[in-house]
Amino acid sequence: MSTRPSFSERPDELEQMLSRLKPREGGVSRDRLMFLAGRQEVLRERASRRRWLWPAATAASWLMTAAVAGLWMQSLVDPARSQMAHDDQPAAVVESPERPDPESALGRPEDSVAPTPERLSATPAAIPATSRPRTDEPGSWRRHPFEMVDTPLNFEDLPRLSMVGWRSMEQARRAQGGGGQSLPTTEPVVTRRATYAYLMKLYLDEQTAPGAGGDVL
Amino acid sequence: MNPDELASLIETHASPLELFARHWCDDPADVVQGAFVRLIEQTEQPERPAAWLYRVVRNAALMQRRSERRRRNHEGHHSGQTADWFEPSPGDGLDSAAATQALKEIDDQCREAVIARLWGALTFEEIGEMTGTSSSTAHRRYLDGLDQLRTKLGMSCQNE
Repeated sequence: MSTRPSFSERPDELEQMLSRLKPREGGVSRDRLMFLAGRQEVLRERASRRRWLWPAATAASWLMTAAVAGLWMQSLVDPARSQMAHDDQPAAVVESPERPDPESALGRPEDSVAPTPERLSATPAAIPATSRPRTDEPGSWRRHPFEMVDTPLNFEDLPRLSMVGWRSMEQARRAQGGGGQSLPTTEPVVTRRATYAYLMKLYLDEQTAPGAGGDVL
Repeated sequence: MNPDELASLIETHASPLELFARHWCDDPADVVQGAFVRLIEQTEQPERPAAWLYRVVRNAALMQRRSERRRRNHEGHHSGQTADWFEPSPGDGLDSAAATQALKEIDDQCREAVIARLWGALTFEEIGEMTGTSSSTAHRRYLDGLDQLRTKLGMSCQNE
């Protein structure tokens, strides 16, 4: 005996009477639903337009990472290309005969520590002057700023040195033991090598001294 | 889903869906509207939108009924629904108030099968999928519902 009921498609009287009843209209807003449908469609289109953005950004970042990794691997294979030179002490410069000697313009006292040709030739790490940047060329201090700090001052380079003030330059000239017109001062005269670093020290000491009224403070 | 299809669905199923949800919750229009919004948001449209809508409305209405019960228990009062579920019927048709009252008094499972079949035009397979039963069970509930309605409305069985 089958318990499966037969699905009769022929409606009886009650079904027909019930079907004729119309459910009461409720509060479903057809206009609002149509508006939401249009809005949703626009949002979906916008989202599909932006879909390529993140994959493209991811691909670009992967390419950049691969490029950097490749360069790094290349530097490991050929270390000479990426080696950096660290010179704590500037190498002595073998002066070429045609270069002007800055000491000659200042006069050289006996206890000066300025390099002499004899001292320079006795330096084991002497480097030919042609392999080092020339610091006496106009504008060379911009190209090689760290090569200049221990270079003896060239007082004939007045337009550039004037920026640190004539007073500091005069002190440096006196410390070097040079002649010329000295300003009257009560400070003891110490004869030492006048370099660009020493000139900057004098300038900063002068500008930062209490009551000096300098430009720095 | 294009606008014409959506408009047709709203036109055909909005009122029956409200009737379907009305015996579970106090605000069936809100539930039905939420179901249509969810249908709009679907990236892939369901194969049978009407059956999908009935299933979504049923779940949402049951959830709303649970929350309303909690709220009523908390507030200590009941909100009565006295309005008819049908438009007034002209002529010699069934009285809408009597039909509403009879539908309210039959079993929940039988009522949802009757409403989904008569006003939603769902097949018994779709009703079975919606309620989580077989099509045979859906059909049996539908017949039981009709019998109960006959009794409530004072009509004799056609086969007798």
